Amino acid sequence: MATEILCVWIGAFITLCCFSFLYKDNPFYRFAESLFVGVSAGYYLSVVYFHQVLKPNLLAKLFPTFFNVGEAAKVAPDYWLIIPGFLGCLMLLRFSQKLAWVSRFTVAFVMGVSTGLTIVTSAQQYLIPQIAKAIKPIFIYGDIGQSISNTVLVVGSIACLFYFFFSTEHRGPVYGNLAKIGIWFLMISFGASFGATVMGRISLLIGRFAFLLHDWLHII
Amino acid sequence: MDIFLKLKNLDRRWVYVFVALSVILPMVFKFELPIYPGKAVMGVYNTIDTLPEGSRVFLSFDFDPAAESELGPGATAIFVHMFRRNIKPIVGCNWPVGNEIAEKCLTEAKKIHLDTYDSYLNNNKLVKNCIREPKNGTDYVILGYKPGGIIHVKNLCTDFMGPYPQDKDGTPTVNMPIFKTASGNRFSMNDIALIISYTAGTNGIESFISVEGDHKRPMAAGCTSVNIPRFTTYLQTGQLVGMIGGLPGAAEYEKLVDHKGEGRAGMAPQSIAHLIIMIFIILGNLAFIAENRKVSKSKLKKE
Repeated sequence: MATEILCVWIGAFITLCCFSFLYKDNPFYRFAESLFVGVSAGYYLSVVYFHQVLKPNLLAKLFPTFFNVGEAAKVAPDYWLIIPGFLGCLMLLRFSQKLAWVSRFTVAFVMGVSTGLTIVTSAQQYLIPQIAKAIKPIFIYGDIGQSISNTVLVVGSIACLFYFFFSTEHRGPVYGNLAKIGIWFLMISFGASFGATVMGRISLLIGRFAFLLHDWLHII
Repeated sequence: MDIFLKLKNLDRRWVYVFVALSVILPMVFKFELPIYPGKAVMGVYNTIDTLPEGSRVFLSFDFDPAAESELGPGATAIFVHMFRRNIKPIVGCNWPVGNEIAEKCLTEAKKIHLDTYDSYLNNNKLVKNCIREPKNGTDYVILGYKPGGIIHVKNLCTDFMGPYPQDKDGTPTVNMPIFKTASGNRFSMNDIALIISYTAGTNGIESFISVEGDHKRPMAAGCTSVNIPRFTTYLQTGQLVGMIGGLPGAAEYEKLVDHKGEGRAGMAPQSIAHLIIMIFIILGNLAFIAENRKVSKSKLKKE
């Protein structure tokens, strides 16, 4: 219980330190900022990268008797993992000026796999479904609402694509006007994004105030 | 017009004070606004509501404490709904700290389920085999964080036991009842009825959408407000069956499961704060117009 109270007080103090930046930059804010960076780095290095990534995925499978207990310790080592382990070790050579180039083999491997996966999945799951759903009848008999919605979708898609077509100058009755309509659609979408961002930031503020007023001050 | 010009030079800290008050006052005075569940949230609710009893749903906690106040309440409400429908959540994480948040939400959901169990049972609102106190390994499991994003999800399409030989507490998963299959085959995405990812950025629902061709499972997303415009495109294409967007989405889901949580409590401050921001945006624009007029008038006088 005492630990819980202490944690709440520390949390409240750090929250107020962060809020104090809204007034002006001050040592309390800088203390909270430095503390956050330090704790995050320590947490990620120890808890995440070693205990959640390196140990279960590499060390415990290569040296089960050292890093596992019980039945898991009796499992045969998986020697295939020497290859990714070796590639991972090559990345550490970036600290050496002379041998830094060797780490490029690992980077090349990761880039190759990522690019191969992304190109295929982007086309299959993002590009084609979006194009397919943009092909719609602009007039549906007896359903004016859906007709307007489809028209907006089709005109908006075409106009925005025209805006990003840079091989021809955005002038003239066709290119010029369509590009202008495209700008309008883009502005509306940026407005929606801005509104969603404001909503998100206010939600975070509500979370912090709920913590201060409920967990710390017990007002609500 | 002078008042608008004065407003233009208003110290920004006054804006902060107004926004802070617009959040604090509705919270203190418990001001409530009506909530109406939208089509996107209903999509998730209806999908879960129509799943057969005992179905297993994969929930991926792909966020960290920075997004907890937005995504946590929605995740808790979904857990409550699943326990009432005897649907078994299997929790994974593409983000390292998702583990701890998943455990927190699960603990809270179990408490809500236990507190409301009797009243729901008496009103015949629970499914036939609904379990009063869900057990780890049988009715739910938290598998923990795995790096890799798309590659990790691709692995899960063929086998869960390979990437997850143990759950997050080190218990071997191979003998867990939750992973038993009728055919006796290895547990894979084929045995999952629905995938839900709570996404705050990269490596979230898009990792699952990327390998949709491999797993062919229905998907839903819980996302931060910032991501709503981006993910709406996946709703429109039918790649997502539904979406819980930000704190308002969580409030709508809480309304559907009849729980007054942080989502519903946050809707009044959210709306009032939006109103204050809108007023400041309008005033700012009026000040901008007033200044432009003043400049053009002074130019005309000089000429």
